[in-house]
Amino acid sequence: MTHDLFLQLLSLGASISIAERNDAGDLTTRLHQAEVIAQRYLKLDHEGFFIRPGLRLGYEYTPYPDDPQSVRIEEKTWNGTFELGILYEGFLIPSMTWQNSLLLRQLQLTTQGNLSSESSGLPAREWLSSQGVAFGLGIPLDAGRLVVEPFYRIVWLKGDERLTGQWGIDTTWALSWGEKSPENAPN
Amino acid sequence: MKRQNLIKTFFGFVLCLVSSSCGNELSHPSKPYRAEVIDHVPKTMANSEGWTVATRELTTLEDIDSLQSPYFSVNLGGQIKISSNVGSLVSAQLDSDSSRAKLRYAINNGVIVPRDTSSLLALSSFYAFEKTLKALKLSTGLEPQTLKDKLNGAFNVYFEPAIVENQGTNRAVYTLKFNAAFNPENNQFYLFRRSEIETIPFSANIKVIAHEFGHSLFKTSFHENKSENCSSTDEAAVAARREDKFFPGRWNLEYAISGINEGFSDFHSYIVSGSTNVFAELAPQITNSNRSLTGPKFTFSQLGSDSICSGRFYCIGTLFARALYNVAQQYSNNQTELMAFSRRVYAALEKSQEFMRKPPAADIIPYPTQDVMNCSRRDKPVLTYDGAITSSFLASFLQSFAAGEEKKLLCANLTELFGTVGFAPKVRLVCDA
Repeated sequence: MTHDLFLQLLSLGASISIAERNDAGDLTTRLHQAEVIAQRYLKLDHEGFFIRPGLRLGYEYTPYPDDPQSVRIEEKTWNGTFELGILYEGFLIPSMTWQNSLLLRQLQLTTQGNLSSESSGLPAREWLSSQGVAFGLGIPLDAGRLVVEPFYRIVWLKGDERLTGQWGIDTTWALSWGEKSPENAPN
Repeated sequence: MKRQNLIKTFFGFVLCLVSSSCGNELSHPSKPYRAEVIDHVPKTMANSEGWTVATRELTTLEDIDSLQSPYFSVNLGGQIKISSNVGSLVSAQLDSDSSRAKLRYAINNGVIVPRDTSSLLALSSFYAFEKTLKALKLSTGLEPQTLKDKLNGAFNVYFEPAIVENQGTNRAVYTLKFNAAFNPENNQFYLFRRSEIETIPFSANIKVIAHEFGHSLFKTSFHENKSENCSSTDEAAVAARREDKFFPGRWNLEYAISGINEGFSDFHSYIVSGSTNVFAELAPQITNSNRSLTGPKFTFSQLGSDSICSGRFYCIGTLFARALYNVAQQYSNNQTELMAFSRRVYAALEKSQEFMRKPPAADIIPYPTQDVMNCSRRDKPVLTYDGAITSSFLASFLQSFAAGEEKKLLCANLTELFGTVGFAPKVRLVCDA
């Protein structure tokens, strides 16, 4: 089965995901992440196979359900990701994507009440990098213009070994412009 | 796809891979380690009591990643099985000491700066234990090495451990919050998971740490450094206890002695931190004046009424701690004398059980009740029974104090707070000696 999707040059979309993070006490806390996505589909010589380079910009929110009222270290993280995936166009669209991310994390020591801070050492921001492998299964809708793709991502975040897996959903919309590009047209 | 496009994509990807080298490679800090931790600021003439996050030296820290000192180590995580608990004393076994959690920090001008809340609290726990150990020589006369020898080696602190429960083939893992505990069987401390209802977190709170540490000192002193288990499976052994006032493990089970243990620990917390209420600032929901050394007065004969004191055996402890605190007030402006009094208290505890085994203190001790014989603990006081035990204990405790004003004042306070039921007139002769 062939969808019009891959005739297009560009897809734009958004992603929401939940990342799991190991904490003391054998607990796992969950972080919420939202991303905007831009992806391009490039046809390979093998029938039905495409590679998909893409860019993501995201924001990660960390909840602090157990932290005491008077003191906590808050994290806010922005990330930029370059990814390169390979996928097969069928009734569904299985994909595997390698992702490289650059993260800017803002750390803030927050104190309240009778607890004050003389701290000046906490880095206000830190740059981190991560690699990840995402396994997705795209569901093409609207003749392939809309793709809803649940995924599971394994992430190696350098300098923060707490992070384990991440799962979420990408939703991308193929932009329609111009004529079909002959080089990308299906055989 | 055109070859040119593929090449462009490939180089873009490589560029991004190169950017991955910007992750923070950590330079290792050097000794003596300095770290940002939560510290208690005691009340002074000029300032009120408070807390601060500030740089402090961790003088005994040998390895930052394992949080080890020669006398103790703070372990992140771990899994424990709890078999029983009495207040903040627990009986438990370590199921696994492996943990997925790691200390995360940055080095800034040679200072270890925690990068998440868990790391800040774990480093603060280490600092609080170290501070308590630094006061040990002054507060008890023991060198840290002597205590280490008594406890059969460096003790372990488990920071936010998980609790494991096995029922048949099912294994449940869960988390306890809002508590800390000492396990006298294997000299382990547990700092349970932090909680959103805490103001100053338990694990970083020197008042709580010094209280729990007080339990270990009660073990090395009153309990003569033994942790005797009681078994109820041997019927003959249970029956034999009916006629044995001093069967092994009895004092661990007695309601009154559990209370004295808590009271001594609260007093130790006061000696180390200067705080008169372990519960102060733990959580806004808790305003437990029953534990305050300066709270509304109550006496032994009023115990059993929850409207007077609802803290079960802790109430007996508060009476004991208040008597010690009231005497300590005469030294409040003289730290050297205050610490000398604390050492006399510890020395008296070391001799107390020995004196309880001898007349006249031994004569007043009742034979154990059925629940104690069966190795179980009561949850409510029985005033005459518990009063006989506190009477025996107090008479024995006072025996070590030299005659003088301090002993007179101590006797007067114990008499006032424990009354004729909790400190029987017939054993008060010790006050005249």
